[in-house]
Parts: sequence; structure tokens; C-alpha cells
Amino acid sequence: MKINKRGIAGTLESSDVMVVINPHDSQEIKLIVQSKVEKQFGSSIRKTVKDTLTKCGVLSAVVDVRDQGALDCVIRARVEAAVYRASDEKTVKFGDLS
Amino acid sequence: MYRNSDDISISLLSGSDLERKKHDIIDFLATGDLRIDDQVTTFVVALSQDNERIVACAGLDKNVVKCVCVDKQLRGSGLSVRLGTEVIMQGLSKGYDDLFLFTKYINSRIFDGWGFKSLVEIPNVVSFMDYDSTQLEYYLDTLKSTLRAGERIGSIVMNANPFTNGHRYLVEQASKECDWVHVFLVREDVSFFSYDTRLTLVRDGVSDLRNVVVHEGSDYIISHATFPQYFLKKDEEITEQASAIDALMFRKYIAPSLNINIRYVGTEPTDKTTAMYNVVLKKFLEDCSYSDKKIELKEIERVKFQDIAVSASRVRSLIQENRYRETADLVPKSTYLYLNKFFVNEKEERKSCHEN
Repeated sequence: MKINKRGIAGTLESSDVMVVINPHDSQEIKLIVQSKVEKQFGSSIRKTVKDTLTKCGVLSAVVDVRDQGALDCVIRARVEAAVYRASDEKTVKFGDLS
Repeated sequence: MYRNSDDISISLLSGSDLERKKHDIIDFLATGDLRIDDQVTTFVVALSQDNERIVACAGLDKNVVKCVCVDKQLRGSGLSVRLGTEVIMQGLSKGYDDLFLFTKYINSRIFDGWGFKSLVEIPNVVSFMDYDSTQLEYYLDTLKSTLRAGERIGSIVMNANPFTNGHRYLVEQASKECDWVHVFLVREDVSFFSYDTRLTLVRDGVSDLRNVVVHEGSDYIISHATFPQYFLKKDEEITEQASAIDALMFRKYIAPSLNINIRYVGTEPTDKTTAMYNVVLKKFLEDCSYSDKKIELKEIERVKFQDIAVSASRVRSLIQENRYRETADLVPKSTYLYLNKFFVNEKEERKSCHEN
């Protein structure tokens, strides 16, 4: 999926994550993760986000992730939602992605 | 009373909806010893569902978060975070890349919870925070790509509305005294002349000076966010705190990126805001209690024409009084050519139309 505009999903609440996806001028994923549980789960969060982006077919984007201790399934859902909002995809097929 | 924050609904107010609710917001802010800010165009308001009473609010003035208040009984209930989510969503969806706020030093922890980080602070007084510091890093990286080597690296920040002989004189003086001079143009597009015009006129006006580099401004240097009063120009006394933030941002982030060690300003005989800014700038660029490297502030006497200081405001009033020709003595040739093209000719055309 192509990232055409800014897409935001999630909240700042505990156990949730806020994901902001922006278009990027080069063909790469620039990922910035800030997490309350960075030390324990930082690499796991990065992997979940990257895997979800790959499944969505996103090749170029700047992704800002503010995690408040979200479970993997929550991270995946928020990333997917942000991707859909950032692309011009009209039909949402959430089930297909997980 | 409201132990469960689910009993509270969050809504957005702007335009006529905001006008209708304004009194309630003013009353609510008063309970937290805060005053409403007339620059705020959108309020996020939390209402208790039973009696529609305001229990929390936060305002957005462009990319600056203001007037944040949560009912004393509800602090610590997680309501602040719900409010913050909505404010950030709003700000980012409006297209702003970064969001800012000023807060009393003691309250800055609340905004840590919103994901804001302190950029600069006057210890125990005020913190200036932003939401996405990567935006500042991008800007500093752009600046660093023009890094020049030298002992004395000067800098000037100007609005140049439009570029006059006064600006030219200031740049010339700095150019003579320094190895390199970095000129920053205020980015905010709220002046009589558009940003693009101002930038073109500055570039044209200094193109013969080989050691001068002109930079585009940003949110991080004399902007709506770092120095709101600059654009309000009211007579009311500006607070030292607010203008100090801009000085500290320059000292901590902008100057080190280009090894700047001197900042030049013109003396300010008329405009109160600018005069006050010069005083505060000197204090906070040179104050030894901050760990960031000191920047020397050098005030250069304004150049005069017929005993009156040359200023952009003088040029603008001549234009407003239809006395375009007289600006020739106050601005460089490049600026005059522009004014001539857009004002003098236009006016003469209009005149000849009437005659026909």
C-alpha cells in the first residue's frame, strides 16, 4: 500500500499505542519507537511494527510509534488502521492481514 | 464523584460552537487560575455526561497547545491522557508536523504523559516542550549541511518585511567582522510581504557578499511557537519568559549546529517588542548559568536616513500612504525594483485606466 498522506491511530492511554504514519521521500521505512517498556520489549515492538508494515505492503514511510505498553495484537491493529488512513485504500480487509 | 472517566465525553469546539461555550470555558479555566487565550481557535472539552459541566479542556492555537486544565477532583484519573490524545490528533490532522506548549516548570510532568519533551527551560520557571523532536533534528541537519569553518561565525535573524538598507547595513557590518555570517529569515507567513517575497529580496540583497549564507526559518526560530508576541505586536509589555525561550532555543540548538558564536541585532529605537527582545536576548545568550556555549550579542547602531532610523515599518507606511517613490532612499536596488514592479506600475496602470 502506498502512503499518500498522514495517518494516525491509537491513543496515549495505558496499554495502547499511538501510531503516526507519514509519507517518506526515500524507499525505506524510517521507524521511531518510544516506549515505556523500551528496555524489555523495544526490539519486539520494532519487529511487530515492521512485520505489519510488510504485510500491508508498505515500502516507504516515516512511522512514529508511542507505546504505552500495548500487547502485540494491539500494536498490529493500530499500525494497520494508521496505514489504511494514510493510503487511499477504500476497502478495509483487516482479517486478511493477520 | 466521577470515579469512572467513562462518564465523561470529549468534544471539539470551534467557530460558533466555541463562541457559545466561551463563557463556560472562561469560568472553568478560572478555577485553575488560568485565563482564556483569544488566539485559541479550537478547544477540546471534556463534559460530564450527567450535567454537561466542563471537567477538562485544552486549546489549540495553530500548532501551540494552550489553556490546559483538568478539574481538581479528576486529576490522576486518566482524563488528562484522553484530553491529550484528542489534542494531538487534532493538531497532527490539521497538518502540523510538530506541536508545542509552554508550561510552568512544575507542571511539565503532566505533558511527559502526553509524549511531549522539554526542548528548553528556565529552571523552576517555565518549560517549552514539543511533541515530535525529530522535526527539529531534520531542520538542524539541513542547517549542518551548510556548516562553514572559521573563528568568528556571525548570525542575524530577520523578518525583512521588506529587506531595507537597514538590514543591508547590519549584514554588511557582520560580514566585515566575521569569517561567515548566517542569516535566518523568519518563516511565519503573517507579514505584509509574503515569505517567498521576503526570502527572494534578502537573497538578492546580499548576493554580492561572499561570506553570507541565507537560511530558511522554521518553527524553531522566532516563530509563532517560540515567540508568539513577536507576531501580535500589542503595546502590552511582553513577558521576559516567553521571549527568553526563543533566545534559549537559538543558543542550545541553532547556534551549535553552525558553530555560531556571535549574534547581531540592530538597536531598536521605536518598537517596544523588539527593544525588549534585544534586552532579553542579551541576557539569555550570555547568561553563564546555562551549560550551552555562550553567544555574544552585538548591537549595531541603526543606519539613518534624514535623521530617522531606516526600518521596514517606515517603508511599509510609505507604501500604505502611496508614497512608493520615496522608498528608493530606504531600500536596496533589488527591493526597489520589486516594489516598483508591484506597486508603482500597478498604480500608474490603474491611474491610466481611470483616465481612459
